[in-house]
Amino acid sequence: MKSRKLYHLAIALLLVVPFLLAGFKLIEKRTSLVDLLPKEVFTVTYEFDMSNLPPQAFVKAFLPENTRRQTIRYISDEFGELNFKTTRSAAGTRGKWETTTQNEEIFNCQFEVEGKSIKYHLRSEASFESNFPKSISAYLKGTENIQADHPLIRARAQALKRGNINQTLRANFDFVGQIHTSHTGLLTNAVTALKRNRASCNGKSRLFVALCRAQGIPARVVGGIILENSRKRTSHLWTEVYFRGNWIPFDVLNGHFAFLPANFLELYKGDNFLITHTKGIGFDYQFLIQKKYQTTETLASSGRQLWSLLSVSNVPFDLLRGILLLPLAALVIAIFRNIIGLKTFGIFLPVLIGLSFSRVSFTAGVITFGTVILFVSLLHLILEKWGLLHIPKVVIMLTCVVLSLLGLSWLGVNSNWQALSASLFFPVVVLSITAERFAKTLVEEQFSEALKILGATFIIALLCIPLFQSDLLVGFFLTFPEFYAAILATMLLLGRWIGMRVLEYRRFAAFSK
Amino acid sequence: MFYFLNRKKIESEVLGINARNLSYVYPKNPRAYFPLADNKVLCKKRLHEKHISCPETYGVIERIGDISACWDQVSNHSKLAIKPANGSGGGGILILGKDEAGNWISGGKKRSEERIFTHMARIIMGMYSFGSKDQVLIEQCIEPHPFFHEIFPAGVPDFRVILLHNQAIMSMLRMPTEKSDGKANLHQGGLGIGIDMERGTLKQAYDGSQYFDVHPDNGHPIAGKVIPMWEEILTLAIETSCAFPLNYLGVDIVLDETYGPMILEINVRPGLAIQLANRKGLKNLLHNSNQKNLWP
Repeated sequence: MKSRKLYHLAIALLLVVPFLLAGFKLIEKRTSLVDLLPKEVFTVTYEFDMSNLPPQAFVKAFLPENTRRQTIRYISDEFGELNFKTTRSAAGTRGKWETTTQNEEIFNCQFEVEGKSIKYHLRSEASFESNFPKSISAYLKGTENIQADHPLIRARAQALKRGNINQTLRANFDFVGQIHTSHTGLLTNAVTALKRNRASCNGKSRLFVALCRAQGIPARVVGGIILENSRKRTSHLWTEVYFRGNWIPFDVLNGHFAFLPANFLELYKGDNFLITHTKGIGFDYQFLIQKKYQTTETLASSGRQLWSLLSVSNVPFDLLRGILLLPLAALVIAIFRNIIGLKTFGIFLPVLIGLSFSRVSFTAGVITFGTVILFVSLLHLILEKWGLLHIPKVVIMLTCVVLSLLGLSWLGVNSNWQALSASLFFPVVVLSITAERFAKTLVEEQFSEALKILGATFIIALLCIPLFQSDLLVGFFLTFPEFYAAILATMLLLGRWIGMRVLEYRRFAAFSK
Repeated sequence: MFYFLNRKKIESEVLGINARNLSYVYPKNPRAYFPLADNKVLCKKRLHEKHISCPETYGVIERIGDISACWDQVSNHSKLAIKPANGSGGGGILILGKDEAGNWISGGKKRSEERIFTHMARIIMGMYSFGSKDQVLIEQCIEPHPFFHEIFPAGVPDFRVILLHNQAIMSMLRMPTEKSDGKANLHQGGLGIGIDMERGTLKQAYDGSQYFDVHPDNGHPIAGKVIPMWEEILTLAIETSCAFPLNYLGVDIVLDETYGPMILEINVRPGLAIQLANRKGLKNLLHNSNQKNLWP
């Protein structure tokens, strides 16, 4: 009896403690659950290098402001011997760095960005506006690069105009969208983009704005940077259209209609240059962007949870995600096996397959998986006839798995199917183990049985994909690692559960009569 | 779909796999003794020690170097069964007989000694045990009692008896069909025929989806047929159970036309389809028979 009591005690403790600890954390810090979940935050560093300096030189660059969509926190700067000041205008906040010496100056400026995406829904019956306030009607005029008055633009605008604003914007959007994309960084004005039927982001944006203006819709370009883990020098230009008191974003190049993703950092409004500097100096620059995950400061500083793993140990987030969620995925599989009664190839394999799928594109994953297993099955049938010893047979299959992955990848590259060429990222080991287990089952059971087990393994792996991709779950376990105890408790309970598996009801259906 | 509505009824009678493992297989069978059931060589050793009727073991080969010597000793027999000790799926089993000229035949084809040696070498090298080393078991071939061939002319059918603490709880007869390619395994398309243990007669046959009173391939009668030597079969099953330190067992018995009931092998995780073959659940039968507590 003693071990039974111990068993129940263990379960009770493991279930209750997480809730206590979690509740304690929430109460103590007086935050809600939503605040504790991770937010995607970017650290952006402007890295500048000025050389070959005359007695007085400067660099000007736009700096981000707080808006509805973005929250900015300045972290640090290294301005050396430069004088720094900022000026605000309708275009945005501009920083100016002036030299005091003629020595080469390497300087940087670092800030943190937390962005939100924004989506607008335009009413389909919404009609055109007129009578704009003076500040807005400025955005109806043609400029040097946004030639709204040019006959070609006017003609095209007339052709695209529809009965209401929504349809008109749609027409403009689709028209500019189907223009060929070029990747030049050079400035392209609206007319050139239209004439050549070819433009980069800045040409397309200017054309879109020009068309809108010619149709009597106030519009402007907006400049900024698309944030992602990288070092880059390219900025991005998108557009905004004024309607009913709101400036609504449109990014033709990336297909965002009345929508802007969270990682678009806005730096300036209107047709400006992100960075300007004194003519003739040696100037180089780079944007260093790093993505990280953060929770509220109070909790992060408490050190009572695992967030430090992210910043200190340099573990790539993808890997961490897989490790953190593995126990939960394994629990899901235990439930599918012991409660529902599906048979799979082991408990680890579906988890690993699911993890692999969540890292590559889903289509590529399915094609890779399906092709390899099919190939291996055929191979197995042949090898069986030749009566090979087990281990050499396995090595042959493993080699063939690698060959099929290479083949698929080559196919992907040649047919321009990006997703397929990424097949190589699918873990070879996982595929080989699955192939070997499948082959083993083909021997031990009937073909239909082996296929059923493979199917069940595959389906459960699919279910693991959203699990592994969930930022919510990752954040949850990072913030409340005590819930691993709850997983342990659940498995202790399941370990002594003698109920019938769901599929067994079907197998023994004859007993229900 | 409606079976789910009546699930209480199913639950009250049927032993599911979770319950089987948790209440019977693992508590009743000390893990250390599993190899006595899983390894045919160890099993035979114990059977011979306890003088329990089973096919005579002609030889056991552990190393490739011993094949030749062992073969010389056994090749005077007119029939042989060569099996992997740890094999599964029946893939490694080779039944050999001699023709008039003294050549070895298997499945109607001539087999040279070289090929037979190769087969045994492969067994040792683990071809049928998924890479891990194995032993070759050479034993007496079974001649099935004509009773079986009255139902179906081919293969070696066997009786499966489930015992708990040396008491026979339920049994069935596993019979091959055309579909099963000579194998009696239910998984591979064979028939499971329930047994009325009191009367010693066969009940209906189950093929995985339907029940039959006759064999589905040839219409030979099954239900109600009297099993020859049933008392001896039961006694042998109980004797075997007593001989092993395992308390929840499935015992496989064949009926040889000359030697009567013989133990083929024992199973420490006997399957649950026996309930379907008998149209009766194991749950209550086992519970009533069970004297010991669930907890250690």
